[in-house]
Amino acid sequence: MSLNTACRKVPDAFKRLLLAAVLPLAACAPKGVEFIAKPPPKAVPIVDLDLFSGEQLGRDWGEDNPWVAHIRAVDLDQDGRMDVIGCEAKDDEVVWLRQLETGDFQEIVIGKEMQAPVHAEVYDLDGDGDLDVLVSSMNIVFPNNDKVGALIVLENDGSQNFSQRILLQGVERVTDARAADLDGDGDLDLAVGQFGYDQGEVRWMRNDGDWNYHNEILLRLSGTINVTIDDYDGDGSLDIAAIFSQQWEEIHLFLNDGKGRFTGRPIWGSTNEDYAASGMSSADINLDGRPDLVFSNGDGFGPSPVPGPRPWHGIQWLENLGKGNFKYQRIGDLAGAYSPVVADFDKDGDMDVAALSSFNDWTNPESPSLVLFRNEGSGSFAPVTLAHKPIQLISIDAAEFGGDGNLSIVSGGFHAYWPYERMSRFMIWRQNGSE
Amino acid sequence: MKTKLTIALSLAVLAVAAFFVKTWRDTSRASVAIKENLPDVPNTATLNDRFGERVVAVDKEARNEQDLDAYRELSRLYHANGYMHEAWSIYRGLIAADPKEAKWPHLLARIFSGYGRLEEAIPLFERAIALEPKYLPSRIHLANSLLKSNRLAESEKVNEEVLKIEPKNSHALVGLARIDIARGDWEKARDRLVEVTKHSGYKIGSDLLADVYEKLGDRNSARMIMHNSQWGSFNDIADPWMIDLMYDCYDPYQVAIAGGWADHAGDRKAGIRLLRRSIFLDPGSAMTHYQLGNLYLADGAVNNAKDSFAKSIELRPEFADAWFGLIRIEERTNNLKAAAVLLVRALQSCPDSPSLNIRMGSQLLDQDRPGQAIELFKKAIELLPHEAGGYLQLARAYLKIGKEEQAILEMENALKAEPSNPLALMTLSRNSISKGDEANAESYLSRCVNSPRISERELLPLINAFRSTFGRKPTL
Repeated sequence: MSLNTACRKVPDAFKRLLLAAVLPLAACAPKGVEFIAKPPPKAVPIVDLDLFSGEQLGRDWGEDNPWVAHIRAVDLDQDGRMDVIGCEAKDDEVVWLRQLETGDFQEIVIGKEMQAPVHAEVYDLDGDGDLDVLVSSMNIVFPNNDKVGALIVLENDGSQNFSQRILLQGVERVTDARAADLDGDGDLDLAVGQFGYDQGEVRWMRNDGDWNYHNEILLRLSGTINVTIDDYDGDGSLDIAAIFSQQWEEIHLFLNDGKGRFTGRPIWGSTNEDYAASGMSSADINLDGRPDLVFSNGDGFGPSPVPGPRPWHGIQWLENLGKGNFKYQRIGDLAGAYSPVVADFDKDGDMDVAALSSFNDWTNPESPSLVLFRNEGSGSFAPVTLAHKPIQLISIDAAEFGGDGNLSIVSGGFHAYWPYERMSRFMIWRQNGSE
Repeated sequence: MKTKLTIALSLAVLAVAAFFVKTWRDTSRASVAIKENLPDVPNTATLNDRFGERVVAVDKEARNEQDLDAYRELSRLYHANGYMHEAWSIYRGLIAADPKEAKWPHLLARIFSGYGRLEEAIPLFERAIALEPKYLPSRIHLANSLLKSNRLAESEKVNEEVLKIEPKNSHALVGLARIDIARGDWEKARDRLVEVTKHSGYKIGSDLLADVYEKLGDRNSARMIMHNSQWGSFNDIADPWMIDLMYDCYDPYQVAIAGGWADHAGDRKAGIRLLRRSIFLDPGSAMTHYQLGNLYLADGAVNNAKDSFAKSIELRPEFADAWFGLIRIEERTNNLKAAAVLLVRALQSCPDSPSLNIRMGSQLLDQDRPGQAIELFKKAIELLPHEAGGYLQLARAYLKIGKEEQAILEMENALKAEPSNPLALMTLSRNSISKGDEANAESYLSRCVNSPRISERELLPLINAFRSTFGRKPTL
């Protein structure tokens, strides 16, 4: 029986009489749903394939499918021109795509036998004025429980000749490492994330000088994807945040007392073991002076032999409310989302987020591959599809490459799964209208 | 008498009135809740045909008749098919319109807690528990939500309540162990986790237990635990209300994923049912037939498994894994001739499958035909140079024909491809010890220790050999 029919069967006059008689009963009405927020309005997807134009960088890959696990835009030789470094996990190489005066890129292998490198950051680790490359190596990219991870420095001799120095090995597979002065003694210490598989860790490594480090484990938990360093509680000392996937799906914050004593706690978590956290970066999204955390979920692995999308994949941020408190905010849905990068791409004064889809429904040629979440103000973002191909990108970064003030995106392709088509290795995506 | 009758009549009128008011109020409330929380139908052009047709029809019923049953059905359709905004809105309405049903707050809480909107999820789980105290997934998810919100004492209380209902509940014990770890009480965590791993057959808690042992300095126990555990064996608590939704999902891939998770969480029957639904939705998926074959096989339904693998091969003859499924069945029943025939057919269908080339090579090697075997192993390496399997078999073949140095070279290649391969590590350790190469022997042994796939029983003779050769203990 429908509700309307049921209501119609009760005469109005009688209803009024009864209402008056038992009005007090109404006071006992159960609690309503006011405490449950209404869902926010759904974003309307936009497709603008003309906003950016992509072109391949570096050598052709022939018949060997590229496995570029990470890409970073950086002026490695400090010549004023933005370069790119990338990790080729299958070839065990770290590659430098050096931007020449002509704007072309020259590919130079700066690290060989790098034990399946999956992340590289650039710092002057030894304080000699040139930039070294800090490389996180898993050694085996696909699931493995063995302690085969390594942290390697490609030490720059000042003329862009790099020699390998192992800082850490025989540990759970290393996925990310960042450097900063964590104990206030003026040199660069390290925060290290080790994904492992069933076992993993986050540690920090106090720099004792001459490439010696003292190790301290902050948390033993598998699935660390990224670590970031920033002053998250605004006390003037640098803290560490780490995102964990596997069955945990959590973000932990390790607050620093300024002397390298850390206190850790979870600041976010999902109870969906298939949420599939896939990347995190630190940025002040709402420009309130406090560093926020932007993260993606889109790792498509699971119980199916074929990795693929899930309805809940997407991009979100933890708004830093100050004093170590954070609030979850969804930016938008994106199947197979990875590698969120925050920047003001459209130069309108607010921060946008670029991200990519690594595991999507690639049988559908309309599935987005590269997406810009354009900040529309008031906490809402409009998803703009920038490209449908190449597919299976896994890492992007953004920087000004042309000297014209426009941000370009660089991307890396990781093709370990069917369909082996629409492939790429390294690419640069320039905004149309820029040089 | 008259007064008594008047009072009795008045009470009767009041009771009837109360009943009608309640009915009216409930129906009005339901009506308002439905109206307020009925989402727009998504753009039908983007919807799967069958799903789109059903959503449009059910939405019409719910909209025109304000029919609560239609509204309930709509919630299932949206949630199961990944329309989370729409499901969220409808659950909001259902919680008001059908306030005694625990499913609605639970399912909305699962959406919220899934996204990590834990503050919103927690009161909904609490409401679901109040309505259905025996439904443990609500309690476990509440405990996890509280733990992830760093509300340790509250999480502890909820987990303890679960243990009152089910004293050996693995998920509650793991939750409590995580709280112990957060508080730095490693011994207590160890004791709980020992119980969990024992109870769950190393399926849950072994990863944390290994960490706890390491923290407590008990490296051997940590290795033992990791050696006994199956990688990635952790499973979430099976949630029948969530699993049940997926019978209304029209996306064959998502249904297959749900089937895989249901099986992983211990509900194999649900896994099989969901995979069958996925095949009903997409009969042409060789991958899903293969997945179903594996579940049938694990369930002991050998004939069904055979049919599924055969169907998978029929759809995609070059799919080597499905061939392996069939071969495995024949081997299990000791029908080795049939397995050998299948292997030949498989290789004809998939000449570029590294694993089939390796399998055929191994078979030839066992038949003392090393020359032919070596060719197949070399082909496998060419096809898949970054995996250890081909190198290991090639090394075995070289050993068989007395080419020891080449065998060692291939073992080293295997180790380059897979730096912790147990067979390569143990062989190279043994080789270095026998050659008196102390530095390399120590290095390989150290890597053996870091590979929990190598058991203590395998490790010990190597350490003893090192000691007797070099007169000292290796530094590991």
